[in-house]
Amino acid sequence: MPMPTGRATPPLAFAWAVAVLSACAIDVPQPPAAVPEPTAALRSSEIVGTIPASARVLEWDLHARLDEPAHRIDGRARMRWRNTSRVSIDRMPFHLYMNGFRAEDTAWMRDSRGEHRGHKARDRGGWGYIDVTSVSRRGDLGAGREGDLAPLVFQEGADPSVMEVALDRPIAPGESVEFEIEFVTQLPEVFARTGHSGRFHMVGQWYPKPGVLHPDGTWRTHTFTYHTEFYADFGDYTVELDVPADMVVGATGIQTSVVVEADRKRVGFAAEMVHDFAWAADPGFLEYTAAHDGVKIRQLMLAEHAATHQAHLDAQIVALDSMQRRFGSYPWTTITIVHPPTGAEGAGGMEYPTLFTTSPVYQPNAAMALLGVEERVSGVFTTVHEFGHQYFQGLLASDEYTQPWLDEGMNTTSNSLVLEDRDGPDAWLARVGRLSLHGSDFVRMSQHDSATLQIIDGNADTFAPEVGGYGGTVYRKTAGVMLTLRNLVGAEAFDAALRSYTVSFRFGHPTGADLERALRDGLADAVVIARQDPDQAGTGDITLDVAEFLEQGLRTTHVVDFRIHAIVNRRGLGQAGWHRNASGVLVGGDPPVAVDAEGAPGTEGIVVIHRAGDFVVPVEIEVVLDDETVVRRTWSGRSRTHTLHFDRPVAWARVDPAGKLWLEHHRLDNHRVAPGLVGEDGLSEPVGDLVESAALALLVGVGP
Amino acid sequence: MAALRRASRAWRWVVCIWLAELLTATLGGYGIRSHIAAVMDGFVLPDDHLLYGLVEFTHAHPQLVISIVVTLATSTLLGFLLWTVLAPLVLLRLGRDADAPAWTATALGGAWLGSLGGAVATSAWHLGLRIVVVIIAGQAVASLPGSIGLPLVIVFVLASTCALDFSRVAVVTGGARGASPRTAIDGYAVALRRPLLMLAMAAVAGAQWLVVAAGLVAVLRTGGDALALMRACAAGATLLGFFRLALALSVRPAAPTAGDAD
Ligand SMILES: [Zn+2]
Repeated sequence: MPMPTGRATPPLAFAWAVAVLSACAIDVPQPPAAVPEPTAALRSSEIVGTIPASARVLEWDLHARLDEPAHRIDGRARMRWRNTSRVSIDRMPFHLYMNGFRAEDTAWMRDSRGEHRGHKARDRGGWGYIDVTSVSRRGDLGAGREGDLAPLVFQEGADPSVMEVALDRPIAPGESVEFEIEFVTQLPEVFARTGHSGRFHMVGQWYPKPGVLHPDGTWRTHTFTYHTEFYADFGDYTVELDVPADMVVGATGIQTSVVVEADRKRVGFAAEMVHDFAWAADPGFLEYTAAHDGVKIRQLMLAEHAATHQAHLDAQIVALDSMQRRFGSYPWTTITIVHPPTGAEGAGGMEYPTLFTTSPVYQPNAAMALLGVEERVSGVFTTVHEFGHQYFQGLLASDEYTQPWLDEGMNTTSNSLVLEDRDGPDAWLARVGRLSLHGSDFVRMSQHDSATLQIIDGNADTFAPEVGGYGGTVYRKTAGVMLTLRNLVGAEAFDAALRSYTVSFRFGHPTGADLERALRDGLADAVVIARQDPDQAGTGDITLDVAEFLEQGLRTTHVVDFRIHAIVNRRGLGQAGWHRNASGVLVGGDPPVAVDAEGAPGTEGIVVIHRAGDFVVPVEIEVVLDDETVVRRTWSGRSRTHTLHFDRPVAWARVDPAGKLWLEHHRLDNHRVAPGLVGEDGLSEPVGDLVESAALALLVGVGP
Repeated sequence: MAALRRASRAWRWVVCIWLAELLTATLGGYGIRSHIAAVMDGFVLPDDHLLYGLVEFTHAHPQLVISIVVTLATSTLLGFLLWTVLAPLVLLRLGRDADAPAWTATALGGAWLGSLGGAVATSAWHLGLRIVVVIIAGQAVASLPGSIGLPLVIVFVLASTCALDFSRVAVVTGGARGASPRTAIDGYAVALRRPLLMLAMAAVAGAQWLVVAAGLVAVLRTGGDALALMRACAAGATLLGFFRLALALSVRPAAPTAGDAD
């Protein structure tokens, strides 16, 4: 039979709906009145504190002209360098980091295969390189008079990310020498920190930088590979950037001048006691400035991200306050936050002195909001993390190649403390209703794949991409080690010890040994964690050997893992059977009293704890007896098993009840109920309910 | 409102089908609970970090993920099969006017079996057509922002649900040949010719989804504590399904009466 018919109407409703929805424009908040630019790059000397005389090694005078269509920089550097070692120097190695992007067979590209943190280089090339055209030494005639330029011989290394300059005469200890270097830097299409995308230019690691000369006369100039970041000496910078007149420029340090001539402008910057100079330019940048505690905070972002400027500012202020209180004053007068535009996400999440790039705040769509998905970290965490690097590497300029955990791992630790100051200890970072993920969860999750892969205290090359584990080990396991230590020894003692490190090594090149020594000195070699039985005075103290803990955490792949091996409730012992009396005669011979008969011995409870992992660390134990008495004990964790006896039956037992051991990722065997006691396991019911609900939703949803 | 009255008069049927749905979902949930409980075997989640506990569990026992996926896929399939088979029966029940004599079990069973083959066949054709519609709609709105494109795709899916209902009505009450793709295509033709009816039905279908989604959101937000609410939502959605089918019946040429359905 034919279908029944009805009247037809034109289907215009959809077009109308589309038009209405498309009309919603992006809401761009009005930038506030600009905060005036500070006149000095460093804050007052009382705030900055003492700068060690040996720290100021370099003086830079840089000139850069950006050829925007070609994304090329013609650069000229005047660099005064001081030999702070004990030996004479006749050669000088330089980093040419930009050459990492020069060809597919450079060390960096070999590792990365043109991909970095999920961002890919374009197939059609877009190489970056730095071509040094001349290196000369300026003669010094004394009394401030400059001599002639003496051209020097230089040669790229086996990998083009380094070059070596042969000096025409030795430079004695304590002597300064001035170089003039001319170079051309071709920026790559950005996918890994530096480069261009449209008119956006993020210019980092763009000029030749000398290696770091250690006091014994050895140079540290690592080849640029996938996870190696940077290492350089502190110095002062005077920089002139020549860019198209419509560019808005942000850079390390303070802006000192701007001169516009026709379609170009020259912007001057100055920075003091920094070990790098980076800059960003885009004509579409909106500027949101604010001042907090004498620091100018400048955000540069396109309209697409402007709605989130306040969230980033709030995060920046929380981080600044927290880190100044914990680690000493922030010494510079400015901090610039660059928001890479869409298409240039590869530039995001990178730190440079007084400037960093961040990432967008996740804006939940209606469905996610309805589901109750909440998070406190996207974008905001990037800002906290990258600002954290102003201390952990900006100020404590450790060698990021040799000991990457010192900056990334200690910075991740500090980020957790900043979040603690904001939200409380181990607060949730993301959640859907009652289902939440905390900082400790992220550390633990990362350990499932990387706990035994590599030790923390290895150089960056040990975490080659094909090996992996860089994030899980260098960032999160380091934080796990430090925060577990903090939980065990107490926040106050740990924070004071860590502060002694951050304050002592400002403007220095601290090593892991320096940090470990500061922690050991600050915490004492053996920290008393607890008396063995808190209910009973006189039992032996449980101590934590800090050096042993750090050794295991940083230089072994031992895993922290405890489990409740057994709970045994059994009939206690009575007096049945034959015993000798005082005269030595065997008497008695009665049969054992039945369990439920009068006079029967009671039931005794036993808990056996097993240290299943090789990591030796004290652990707390909580036991609940059948009469609901709660007993708390601490065990040194030295032997493989530990047995606790009670004169009543045990209901259940739990190791690490407060979750202090962030390094322990196998926790489902930490809490056990006595055999025969029926109870919920805490997992099967909620997960079963969730799956049943989803199954019902699908049944009915696809149904009628 | 006549359609709503028709649907509510069949409340016993709504309850029976709802119970069948509950039983199916409960069996699925039971399997997952037993799986986890067997592995935990006396151990208890040590703190309230449920999500991390689940991550740790699935890392050690990835089979759980497979079990969950299979449970959910089976539920989807069962929902589809259940309603493909039951829809003609429900349409016959809803099609009986209040003053008409009640169906005898034999007559109803005979009428159902008589239309079952056609209803299943047209459902199969519609499944194919729905995939085509979603792909075409997806392509058409691909260039639009997600906030516009996704709702449009949902509207197309809802419209194809209405078209399926019209084809079912044609098979059950009009004797159309379900095996013919024509019957399925004509379902869309009716949907276009009766836009107001289709919009009403699409709204009801959308409400079904919303009710179910609300239950699921409550369960997610409470970490499983709102299972009873989810079950109530399923009852509401099933009743709405009856309402939608009753609305679809308004396109039939004449109301069938007991015994003359064929
Ligand atoms: Zn970092």
